Amino acid sequence: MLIASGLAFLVVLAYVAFGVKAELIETLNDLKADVDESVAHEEILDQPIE
Amino acid sequence: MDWSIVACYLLSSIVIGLWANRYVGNLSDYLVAGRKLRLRLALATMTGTELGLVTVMYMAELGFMKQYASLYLAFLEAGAVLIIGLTGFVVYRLRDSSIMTIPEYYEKRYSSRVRVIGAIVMVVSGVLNMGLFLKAGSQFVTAISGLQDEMSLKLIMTGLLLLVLFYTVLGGMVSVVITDLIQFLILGTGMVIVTVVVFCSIGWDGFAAIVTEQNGYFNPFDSHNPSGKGPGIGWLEIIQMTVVIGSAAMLWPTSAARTLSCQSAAVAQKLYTLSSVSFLARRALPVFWGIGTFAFFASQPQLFADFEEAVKTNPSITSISAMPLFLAKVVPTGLLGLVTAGMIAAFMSTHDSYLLCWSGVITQDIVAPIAGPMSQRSRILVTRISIFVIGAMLLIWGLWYEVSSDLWGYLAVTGTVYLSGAIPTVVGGLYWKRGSQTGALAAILGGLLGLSAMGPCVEAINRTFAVELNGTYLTLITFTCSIILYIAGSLLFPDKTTQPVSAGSSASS
Repeated sequence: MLIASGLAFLVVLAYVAFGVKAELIETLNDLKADVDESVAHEEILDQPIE
Repeated sequence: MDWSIVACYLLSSIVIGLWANRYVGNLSDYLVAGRKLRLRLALATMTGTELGLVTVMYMAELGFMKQYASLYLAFLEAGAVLIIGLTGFVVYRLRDSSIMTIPEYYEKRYSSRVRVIGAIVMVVSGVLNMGLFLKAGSQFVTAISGLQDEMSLKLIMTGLLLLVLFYTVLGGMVSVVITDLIQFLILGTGMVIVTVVVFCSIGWDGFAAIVTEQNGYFNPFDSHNPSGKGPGIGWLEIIQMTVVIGSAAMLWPTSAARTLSCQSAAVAQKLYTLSSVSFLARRALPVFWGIGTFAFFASQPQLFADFEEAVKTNPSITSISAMPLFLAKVVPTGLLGLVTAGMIAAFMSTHDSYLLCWSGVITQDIVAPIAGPMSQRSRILVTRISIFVIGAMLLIWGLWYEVSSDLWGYLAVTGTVYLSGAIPTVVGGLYWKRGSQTGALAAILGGLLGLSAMGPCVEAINRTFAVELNGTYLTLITFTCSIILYIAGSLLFPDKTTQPVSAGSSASS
């Protein structure tokens, strides 16, 4: 069981390592769009919210 | 060479902190990475957060003291996380409600008062819980590096904490996720290397001899520990851990923060299914190292006797120190640097997530509801200040508190303070229409009873009432009380207008 859990963890590690770069770039692009919107409407950041 | 590897890694964390700051545009970005996490990133940050150095230390300690029997915790947790992943129980609806923190759900479902009180209890429990992370980390560094000067050690740990504070304050969840990804890859690699080294050092025969020749502990249902290294487990403790681990798998705030940061509810559910492997590994692999440590010491009786003598005479050496001392002996130079970097990565990835999580709760669920409407900019500022304040508290708490039980026992007890109230409040809120705010308040405040399960309180209770209770009994009593209080409070004092489950409702502030 210990060996199986170690091997399964290796698979997860490989799953993340191969493919995470594209996901990271997509996520950062989404966040950059958020930042651009915040810069364009900076007054929103200073409006009090409930 | 070992220390240059560690230094490179630490330097990269600073660069990432500065770089990630440019991706924080608003409060949602700062607290939940804009709710844009895809599966792999979410999996990396979930594993990085929950696979902390403190987890490695206490699981290895359990492996050292209770050998194979302690593996039940790994299977219990992996099973709980897998069931949640397959069914979507709680996590799907939570993510679908577009909240940023658990107490925010309290307000949507119950009232603002439940939110504030629930948040205060959560922060007390959370800060107490992470209070010993620094101490566990410092014991690892001491044992693996051979550093004996206490002042140098404190300076190193303070420096590491300041580094975490630096990048967390700057980039919030964005920095945390990116650093978690790197930390996940480093610590994952480190863990696999250590596991192989431990296996090669002890060998198949060595692991078998623990049961056949060295009186190793194998059956957790047996409350007698034949190895003589600490107390046994038994049915009652297994029930306690089932309740605590099952609750934490669903609602531990740092895990919930990952759930709430996912791109969608479906991604959150998949995250749990895949995380069951990481949760299995986060407990099983360090237990394996602890078992290897036991086998190593048991095969050298004189060394074992010297270590036990050191535990009795030197307050800075405890059973937690056994595993890193063993690693320092068996892991070759070069690899030791990678392993140390991996463990420091584990230390940092947990601290950053915990600091951000509790600080976010302080801002969103305590300060903002009490102070009145606040702008996003002010909220980010208050969160940043809170991160520093909690960091300072950790330093003080970690330096003077002495653990009177095993480390895992302490974490389970402090976690109970929050979890025992949160479970009926959230699960009842999501799945039982008659749950009321009076019931929720009673359950959350009932969770404070969990403080009585801390070492000094247990001693005082037993002395005062001439009873023989322990943390296990008091933890179970606390969970039972909170559930009863929730049901009774809800039935006796129903809300005037009961809100149905708010899945898919509008985005919150």
